[in-house]
Amino acid sequence: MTRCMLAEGLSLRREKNGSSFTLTVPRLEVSCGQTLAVVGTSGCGKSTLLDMLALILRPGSAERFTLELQGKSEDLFAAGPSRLAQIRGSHIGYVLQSGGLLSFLSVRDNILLPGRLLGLPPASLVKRADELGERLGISGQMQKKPQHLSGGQRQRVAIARALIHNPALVLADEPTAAVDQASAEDICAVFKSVVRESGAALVIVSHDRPLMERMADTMVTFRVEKPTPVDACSTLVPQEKAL
Amino acid sequence: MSRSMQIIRLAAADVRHEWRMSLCMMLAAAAIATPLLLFFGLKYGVIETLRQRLLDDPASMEILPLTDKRLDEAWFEQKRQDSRVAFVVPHTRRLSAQAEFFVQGEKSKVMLDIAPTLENDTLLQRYGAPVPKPGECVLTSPAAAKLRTQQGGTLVCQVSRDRGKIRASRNLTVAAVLPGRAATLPAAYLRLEELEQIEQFKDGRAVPELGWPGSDPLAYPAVPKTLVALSSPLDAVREAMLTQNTGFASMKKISLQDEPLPPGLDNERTLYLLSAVGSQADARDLAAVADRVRGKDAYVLPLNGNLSIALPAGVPQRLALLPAAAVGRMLPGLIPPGEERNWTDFSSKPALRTVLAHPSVASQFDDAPVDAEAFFAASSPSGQVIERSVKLRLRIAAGSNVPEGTILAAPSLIGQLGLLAERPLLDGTTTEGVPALLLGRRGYSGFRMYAAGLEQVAPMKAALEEEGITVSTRADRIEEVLALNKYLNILFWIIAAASLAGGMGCLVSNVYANVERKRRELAVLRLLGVHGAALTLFPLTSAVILTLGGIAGSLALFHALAATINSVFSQHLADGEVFCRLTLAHQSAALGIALALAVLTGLAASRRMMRIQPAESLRDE
Repeated sequence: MTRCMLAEGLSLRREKNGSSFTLTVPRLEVSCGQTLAVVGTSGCGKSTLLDMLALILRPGSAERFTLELQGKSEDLFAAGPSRLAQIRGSHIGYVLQSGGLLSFLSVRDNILLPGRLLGLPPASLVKRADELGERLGISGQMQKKPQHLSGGQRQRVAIARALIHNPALVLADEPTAAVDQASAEDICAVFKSVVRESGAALVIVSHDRPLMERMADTMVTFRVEKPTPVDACSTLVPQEKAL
Repeated sequence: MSRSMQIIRLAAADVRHEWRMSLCMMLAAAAIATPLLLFFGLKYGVIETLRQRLLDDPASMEILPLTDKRLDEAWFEQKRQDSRVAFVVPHTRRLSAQAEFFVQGEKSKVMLDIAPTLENDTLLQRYGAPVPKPGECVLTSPAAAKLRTQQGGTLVCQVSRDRGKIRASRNLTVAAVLPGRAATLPAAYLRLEELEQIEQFKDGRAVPELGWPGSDPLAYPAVPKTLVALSSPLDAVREAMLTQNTGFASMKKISLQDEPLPPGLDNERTLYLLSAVGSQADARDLAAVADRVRGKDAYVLPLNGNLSIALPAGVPQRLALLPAAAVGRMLPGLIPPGEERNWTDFSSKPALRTVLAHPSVASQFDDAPVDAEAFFAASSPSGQVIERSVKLRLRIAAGSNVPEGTILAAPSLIGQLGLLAERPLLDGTTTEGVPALLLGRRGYSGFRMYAAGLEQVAPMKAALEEEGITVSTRADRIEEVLALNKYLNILFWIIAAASLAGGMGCLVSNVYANVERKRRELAVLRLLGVHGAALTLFPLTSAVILTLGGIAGSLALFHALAATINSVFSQHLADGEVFCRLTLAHQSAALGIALALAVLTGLAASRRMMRIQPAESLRDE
């Protein structure tokens, strides 16, 4: 399978009110077409890891941190902020916990926004948005403002927005946390299949381990150690799927 | 569409979507800006109205002398050149500037003050009245009412002297009647020359142009020096008597070479040069000298070294003027043409206009009358240089022994030209039509003056009083308006500073709060790869839109309120006057300042936003 992203020896240390939190990633590889689930309890560093992968949080140190783009390996640790922003805009899709939709834009405009910001041809963009809408079951909502949608519908819109520009990597932060179990299953299933069709890699952060066990191809979790009462060290470790 | 345009559109969509919130912010900005605009509008409108009223009233700019002081043509010329002066015209003596006016056939006569006028008269121009042409006058409205006449009417203007015993009159057409607000007193405006004619008549002199009777203002002879040439010396007593009550103060014996003298005097003669000190010697003085040397074979020759004559082209340099004859006696060897009595006269009778020149000069003019100019130049004891000249017609005759560079003239002509030392002369004719040198005006005792602007009145008043001319102006009222303006300015800035501080605070917190409110939207945009200047555009656009909306609302409110204020006070206002007003420049300035403030605050706020990791904003919820 083609590699999409590789992170080796990533670490980030955060200090806050006299306590510290250190996140270490010995090795994480994400392949195209694969779904990787990051599971773990609250505060173990799931979201921090996701923000680093989304290039909005820069790791403190890294041995290798690369993204494969059109057969070329992009060094993410060495790239400057504007290059990172560019990569973020063009090659990464992000699904936020609550959707992260812009309230002042219609569903269609929300979905089209990343593509428009990249200056992609409008005709093909609209076509792709309609396809995604169809695929995600929100065709009837395209003209509405996000505030008139249910939580599940919003997440579907957020998924469509994350995929509109055909990114290489799609990141999702607790995409189903705000919806009921049944909808969560539906959303995850359609999410996974749509990402796979587009050939992108998908990284989902979730605390819902049973769901992820059904969904993910690979799973990782964190091992938390507390050397002192105020310090915490979290290390990413592979998680065997329970069969 | 460029990325920046995309962001601007997004921000606009946001403002529109949250229209209630946006309206609140705009209203907050308008609430602060409107009273400020209104106050500034009132301050500007009130002061401008007062100022305009003063400016529109020529009386504000009028400068009138309170004291009589003789002012000559040079003084007036200097004032005409002064950029602080819009208009100045000489005035005659007040008492001479009155005449009776009446409509032909009507009984009632009205005594009117006459004011001089000339082209560009500020008062007449302001009220659209034409400057009267010769034979015309402009009346104030009380004068027209008293005379029961109107524009185009014909009036008789009657002047008298010697307590009404001698009268003269002329017809005048009413060229215009000034409106009531221009003047409250009955008066007539006449051209300066015509007022001068009235004064001339009242002074007892004739006005030949109008056929008014009187004496001719003939120039009388005056000389600084006289040569007495005798065949034998005088004894000491008689020598002393030459300077006793003769108008001459000093006497010295000279020889022929000491002084430029006319030909005809021989070496044998004893020459006494008498000099007047202070005022010049006149015909009576010369007669007294002649009396002292009666029976002594004496020649009494009036001399004036300060005179010269310029002839038309062909004679480059000015020629010295010497007597062609003694007083009452011809010089030996000089046989000028014409009657002897005319050549030896020394009086104010029209002087002989024939002069003798060296044949080389005389031949150029062929005995025809030429337009010459006589010059007087001397420095007074105080060091002041007096220069005057008069143009006159002369006939140039050849005199065989006239020295080169010299003109020989009758003693009368030398004497009358000598009066240039004291006053201007002009070449005219007597009532009989004989060419004669006449007394010119020595100057004027007053003037009508208008300053070029309100700010020029006080400095002009100061400058005139520096010269010793007390004047009356409306400087005090102008001062009041300017002072009111100053105090209102101070008040305005105090209030403006307070409300500006409040307004700025409101605007700044508005914009700042808005940026804070948009943290999540900004974080989402960053997640979508928007960064740097493009990202800053988002909060800036909303800051600009909200401020623009606020100020626009404020201006609309201002115009509505200003219109209300102006209509409430309309009965106190003339046409075109307003109480509350802002120019377009003021309004644009208000808009500009508010926008600048919004942009600065927006930049500061969004800079702070940029420093926060987007991850922090994303999971705030």
